[in-house]
Amino acid sequence: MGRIELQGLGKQYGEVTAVADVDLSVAEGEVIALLGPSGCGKTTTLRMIAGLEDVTTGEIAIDGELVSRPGWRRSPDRRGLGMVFQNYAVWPHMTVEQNVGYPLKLRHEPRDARTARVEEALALVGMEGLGHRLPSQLSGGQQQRVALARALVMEPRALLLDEPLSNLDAKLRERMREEILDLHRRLGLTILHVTHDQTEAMVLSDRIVVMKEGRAVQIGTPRDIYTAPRTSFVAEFIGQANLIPARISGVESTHVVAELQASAESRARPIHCRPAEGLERRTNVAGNLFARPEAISLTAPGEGDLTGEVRRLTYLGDVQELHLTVDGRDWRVRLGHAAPPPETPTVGLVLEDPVFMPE
Amino acid sequence: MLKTTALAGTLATVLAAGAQAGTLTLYTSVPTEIMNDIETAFEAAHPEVDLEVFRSGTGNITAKIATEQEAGGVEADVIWVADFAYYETLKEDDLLMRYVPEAARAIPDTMKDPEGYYTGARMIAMVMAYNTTLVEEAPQAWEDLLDAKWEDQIVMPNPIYSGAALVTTGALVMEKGLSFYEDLRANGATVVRGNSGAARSIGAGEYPVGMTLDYIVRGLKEQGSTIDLVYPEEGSVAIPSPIGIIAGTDNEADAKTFVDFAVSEEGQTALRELGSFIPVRPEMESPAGAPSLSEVADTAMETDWAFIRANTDWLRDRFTTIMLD
Amino acid sequence: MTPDSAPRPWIDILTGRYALLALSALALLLLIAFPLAEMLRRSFVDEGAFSLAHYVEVFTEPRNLRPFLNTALLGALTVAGSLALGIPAAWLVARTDIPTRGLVEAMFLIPYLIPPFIGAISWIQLLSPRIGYANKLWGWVFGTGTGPFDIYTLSGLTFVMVLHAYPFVYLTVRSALDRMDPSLEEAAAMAGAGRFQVLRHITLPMVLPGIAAGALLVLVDTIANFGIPALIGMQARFYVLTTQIYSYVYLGTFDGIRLAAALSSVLMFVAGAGVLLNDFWLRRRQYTTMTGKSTRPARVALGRWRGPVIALLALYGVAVIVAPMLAVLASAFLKAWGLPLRWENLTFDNFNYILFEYDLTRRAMTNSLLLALGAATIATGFGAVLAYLSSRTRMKGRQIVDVLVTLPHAIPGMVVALSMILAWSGVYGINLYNTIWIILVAYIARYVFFGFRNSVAALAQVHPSLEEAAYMSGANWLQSFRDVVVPLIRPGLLAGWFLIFMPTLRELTISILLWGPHTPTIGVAVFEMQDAGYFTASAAMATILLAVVLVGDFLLRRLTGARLST
Repeated sequence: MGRIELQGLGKQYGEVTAVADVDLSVAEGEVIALLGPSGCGKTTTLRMIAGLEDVTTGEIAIDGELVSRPGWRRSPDRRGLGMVFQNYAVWPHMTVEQNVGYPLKLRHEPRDARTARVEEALALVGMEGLGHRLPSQLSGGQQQRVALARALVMEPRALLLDEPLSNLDAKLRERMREEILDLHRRLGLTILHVTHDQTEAMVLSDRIVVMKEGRAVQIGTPRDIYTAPRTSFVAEFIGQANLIPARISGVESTHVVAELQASAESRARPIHCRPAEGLERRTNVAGNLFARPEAISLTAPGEGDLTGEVRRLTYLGDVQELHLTVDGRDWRVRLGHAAPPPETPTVGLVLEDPVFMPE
Repeated sequence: MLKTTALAGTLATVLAAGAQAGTLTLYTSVPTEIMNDIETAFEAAHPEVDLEVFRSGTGNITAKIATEQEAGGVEADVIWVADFAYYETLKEDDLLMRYVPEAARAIPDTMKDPEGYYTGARMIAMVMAYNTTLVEEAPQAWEDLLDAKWEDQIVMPNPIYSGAALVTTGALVMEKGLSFYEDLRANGATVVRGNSGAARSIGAGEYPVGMTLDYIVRGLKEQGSTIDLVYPEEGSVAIPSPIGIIAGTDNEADAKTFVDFAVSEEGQTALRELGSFIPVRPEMESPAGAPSLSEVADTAMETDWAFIRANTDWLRDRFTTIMLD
Repeated sequence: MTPDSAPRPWIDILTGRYALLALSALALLLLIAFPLAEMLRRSFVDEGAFSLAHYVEVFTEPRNLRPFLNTALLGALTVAGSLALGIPAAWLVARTDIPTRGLVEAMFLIPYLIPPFIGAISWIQLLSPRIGYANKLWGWVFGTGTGPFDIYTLSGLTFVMVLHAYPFVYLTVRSALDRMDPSLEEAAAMAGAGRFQVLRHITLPMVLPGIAAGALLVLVDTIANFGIPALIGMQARFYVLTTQIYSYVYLGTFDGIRLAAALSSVLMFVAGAGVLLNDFWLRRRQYTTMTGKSTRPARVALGRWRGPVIALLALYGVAVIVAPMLAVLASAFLKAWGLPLRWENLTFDNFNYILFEYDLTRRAMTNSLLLALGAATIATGFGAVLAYLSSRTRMKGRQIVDVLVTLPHAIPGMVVALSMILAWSGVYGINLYNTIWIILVAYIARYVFFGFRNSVAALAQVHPSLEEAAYMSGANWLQSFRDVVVPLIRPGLLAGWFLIFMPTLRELTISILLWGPHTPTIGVAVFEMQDAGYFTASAAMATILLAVVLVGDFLLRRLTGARLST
């Protein structure tokens, strides 16, 4: 229970394309993060799965049953999905108990059973004993737990979360992340959540769907996305990325050879890099050379793959960040907390695992 | 709350509808207080009849009847207004039911329909009235109203609303021509809606003199108001305000009871005592201080009912143009 | 275990939004679009064929043309007077240090609460030629026996109209003054402008949109007004469009009705255009001077003018607010109109008469109460549904809903009433004429706007996610509406209910054309008595009505905490 299939999913608002051609298969019990900048279509996608929006193209199926296609959808009250909204949507005129008990009341659960299950749900989220309170008497975090309890009490097939943590402060956010993970461990629910925060996506997912301008640009585990981004956008969106324009000058079996479109200031030596998945492997294809800050080591100026001009070294406690300019671009290299600052104004950079990717 | 309101509303409508079924509906231009008293007297004498009165000016009533005709059925059962000529029109349109009450035999022929479709039930006369405190020398003839000394001090009823005023306009135009009204206008005469209003204005002192109906003045005088009347030299305009039963009424028996009552001695006495009307039965006495039926009839100005009937719209239009525009 | 809520497709369809939209659209068409269209159509029909004859007659016959000119004249005069009174009053309250500001404002706004025809009646009591109380007072003071006042003149009419309408100007100007950015005036002062120069060069021009809006409101209100021109103007031989329409309808002829329809159509366009102009253009311009800061303009100290101003205000209060009310009260207790105010001339008889004896008033009170209850409830409910459909769904035709709902509110009540007569007098099978239903239908058409507007505002406070959370919890549309939306908009609904209940209770311009033998309303009863010359009885009824209105409005304000606004 809790399998969700999206096939060729698309949504148009008149001239505007909000979502285009999204394919996704969610397995039972999987945690999926929909990640992207605002306006990328992630919330729209979630709402289509919930049944709150209709579908312009494509299909949605839950547990093998078709629930949405162009021209028809099963209404949201009959999908058995639990949803937590960004502003929690806790009903102000009902107590916590009434809020959480509402789904059960609709299903005509007898009062005793209802009360018991409400207690259970509240205990799950750590709100036991607060059933008689009104939402106005609760903090933001508490309201969110109520919303969560309400979604869980109906034993949903899957849980949908719309930016659940963005309204919380940093500490609370961390705690809630843990709690949601804990819940997932205990209940084994399929969870889909929308976020623009990459840390949240990394922590809270089995797989991440990176979206941009309505399209799913890359779907993969956090590790895959981090170490093998397919485009510069993904690379920059997750973690820190150092990029520099380059062109393929040679193709080998597992690697490509890239040459920088550089000025004379940086070295024009060809660099062997891993091709990004789906990259067109031909000579003269233009793209970006990509390296993570922690995958670069320093060497003498003039040596290594690139030359960078040192700007400053920032001490962050556990690591240090060296800010450089590489051919006019801002690059960063991660150094150990005790590493000495470079003595020369320029340094050589050795790229440990460079990747060549489209723009 | 919604349910209560809906229930109340439905109940009210049902009650109203039910009330209409068994009631006797009377359209009349008899002034309200007087009609109230007459209604009480009638219901005392005939408690089995539920009388509902719609009271308005003759003009309004004729308009209502015309509209109701169009819409599919006149609601009134009995009609009692002041325009004698109007009843001919109703008769021609087959809107009246023929009924000759026993007592009607006593009524003079000039005051009823020879074919028995309607009969006069009260004699009313348009006269001049004046405020006894403000006026030392009251006008004695209609012509006197044109005197400059009454400039801006005259009040009179509107023939569009009042049937009696319509008849008066017809009579005066026939006798004196339209110029009479043009001169009245030049003398600043004010037109109000009805005769009661005009009379009260005079009694209150708002206007020192004016035209109104005799019985209203008598009634006010009796109550102590500072008003009195003058039967003009040229003659008052006498109208035997008739009563008629609407054809096709579903309350024939009650309608006849009411008409019988109106022209019976009991009814005519009530009319005299409660409304200061001059009875249409010549053998009965007039109210104190009032001339007898025959006196009024003999001295009245000539009224050509046919003329009035044929020219109702023209008279109203001329009056409006001369006096109101 | 399956968490599905039990699928019940038939309820889905019935309570589905689409069904509701269809029903609402139908209701709106029948209620509003059809009667108005029918009225328009009839005005173009003569002897069964399309014809401009009625319009030609309307615009060429002096009897019809004159009301147009008169209406324009009255409008212009009333606007001028309202500006002359409203602007200084607004400035006084918004910009000076006048003490007891709340009381002063309340005083300025009282005429806004009083139904216009009651205002007319009270001024008639005061200013009737020869025997009005003001005349009597004058005569007593100056020993001349009587005074010079005659209300049945154009100046008398204008006077009463201005006193009724100036609050519109007061409210818009005061609001504009309040919202003005004080730094604009301060900058002028820094540049060397004296107090009056600041006023003339800075304040007044900036407040101009507010003034224009107020003036427009006064104009629209004036041309739609019936009670005052009917009770005062007709006797002064000053006919305006509304009284002319009234005369034509009461004539009862078919030609009369069609002429009335033609006049009404013109009136509808003129008045409607005015209101739409205000809503869509002027109102927007008013906001341009608004700032987000909460600093308010400095108050002008009245200094040595304080005394005289307070005295003037007191005089104003007595002469314009207290005197007319006392006049009505006095007449209500007199045995007969015109009698001197002495103990032996006072009685409770008038009240006794209208409350226990007089059929017309007793029927009227019952009718008005039932109509007000029914109209308020139905219009609030219907308005709420329409508001929901309009603000919550993306269904096409929402604009049309907005226009249809606003139209009967924007155009004069008489026009609405006339359209009802033409639509529902049996020509198309349904005959509501002479029944209480035609009045109810007219009221609902007229006042659904209030229910609509209030519900829209209340709904704005209910975030859509609250409903969506209900859906996700398994509620269908109707359950969500019942369990989440309604409880949250209930206060707004209640306020809207009263906002409709109070005006319908004392309404005149609609029922004056629609009433029948069994269906008078309170407004009609008062008007009829006054028009027929039963001044003491109408004064008694007016007194009762005034008390109800003032108490009701006070309670309403307390209940909703609302501030008066245009």
